[in-house]
Amino acid sequence: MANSSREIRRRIKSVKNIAQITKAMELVAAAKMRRAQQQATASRSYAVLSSELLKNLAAKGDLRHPLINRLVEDAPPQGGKTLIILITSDRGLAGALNTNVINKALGLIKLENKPIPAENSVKLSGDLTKASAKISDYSPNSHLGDGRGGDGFDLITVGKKGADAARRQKLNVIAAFTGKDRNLSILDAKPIAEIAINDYLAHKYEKVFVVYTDFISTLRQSPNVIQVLPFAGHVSRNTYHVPEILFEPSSDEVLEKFLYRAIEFTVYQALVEAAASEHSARMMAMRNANTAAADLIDDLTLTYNQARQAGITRELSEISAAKLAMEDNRY
Amino acid sequence: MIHLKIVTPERVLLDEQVESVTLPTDMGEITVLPNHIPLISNLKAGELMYKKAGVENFLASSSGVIEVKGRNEIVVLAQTAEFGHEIDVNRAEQARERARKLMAESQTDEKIFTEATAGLERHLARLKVARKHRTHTHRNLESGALKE
Repeated sequence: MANSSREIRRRIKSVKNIAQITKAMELVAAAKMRRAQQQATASRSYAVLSSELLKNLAAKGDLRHPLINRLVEDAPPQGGKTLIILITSDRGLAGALNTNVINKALGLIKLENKPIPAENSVKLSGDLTKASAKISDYSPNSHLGDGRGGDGFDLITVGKKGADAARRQKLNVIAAFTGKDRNLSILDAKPIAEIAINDYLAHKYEKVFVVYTDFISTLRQSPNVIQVLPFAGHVSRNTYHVPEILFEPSSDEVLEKFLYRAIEFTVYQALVEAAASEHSARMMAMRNANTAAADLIDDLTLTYNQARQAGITRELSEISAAKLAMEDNRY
Repeated sequence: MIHLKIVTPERVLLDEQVESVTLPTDMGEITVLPNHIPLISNLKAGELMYKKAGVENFLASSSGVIEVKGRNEIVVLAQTAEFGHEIDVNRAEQARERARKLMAESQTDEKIFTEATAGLERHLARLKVARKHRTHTHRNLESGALKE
């Protein structure tokens, strides 16, 4: 009995140590989360203003640019490949965050492999603030069994977890960036956007997607897909009348430069949202671990006390039995 | 008065009423005064100045786009922008040196060369704005001292 109570005591101690670590990690994640969330919300006013600008550009005339829609004679060779920019975190212990976003990417690959034209299943919604494609038709844990598999796809991974997953799935990774979870700047998005734009314009890819975790609230993050190229931010012509606007040098030249920046910005926003999601998810995971540890400690303490009390009761009855026996002998 | 908004992906730098704005564009430097007609133009990396209550304020910005809207409103969307007091002169100088070196090395590759040139221009503007901020504050301090 003494043996098992010592065992329990040891376990309580180790659980307490773990709880201390998870507590510290929760605090760190909470601090990082606040900053990342601020950054995620700070980029929204840029998003609103630049989609307004795009509307004004669209009012000027048809938006014609290879980054928006390829001309017929400019179409890529049949069966062009697709590029997926997968944004994950470097480190784990963030709940199901990385698993979810990786499954989303695998689901996208499966979906794009289907014979039906992707335009029917991938609906693109309007503006830059939340240009998102909802993909409902995929099952989690899907693996690439059927069709062309991952052949028609190349990946750019951001974060170690994504690179590892891509290696496991034997997907072709053309560039792997390590994650950066704080002080993100638009300069971090630039090289990624540049690879995507250059390869797209060189007809290596037909489409480019970003798969990342959208930050909804501290409690909710959901994996999301955005089509980066062809640029789908806002292609429909709006009807509202804009007063005469002077363009310098010309609307085409403004559009050209605007598009490059808008694509960079889309990647930047995905990075920022992913960072905010990562820290939120880690904080929640650590908070859950803390509660679980507290429960476990309560449980173990109860068992320990019961064992201790049983030991005392048994010792008492042994003593009184011995005493009784000795008293019996005297008479 | 004009309502000036300077916004980068990272933050909103300015959201204020000002008297005039001077900006570098692809077509040369322009100054926007109240009641300007609607205009959309490419912003060049360089030095941006706005006048508020008679005081000239300087910012360094990278390329972007400016939109002058009808109701005396100007929106500047830049990739990055900094106020003079935020720029560390020493670091800006180092960055300029790096850009200059890169430019000298990359003269054969046209694409890298243009990028390096753009980088150098941006760093030069930052340096200029930082120096201007310094002298301005000095002058302000001196004149303040004289008044006392």
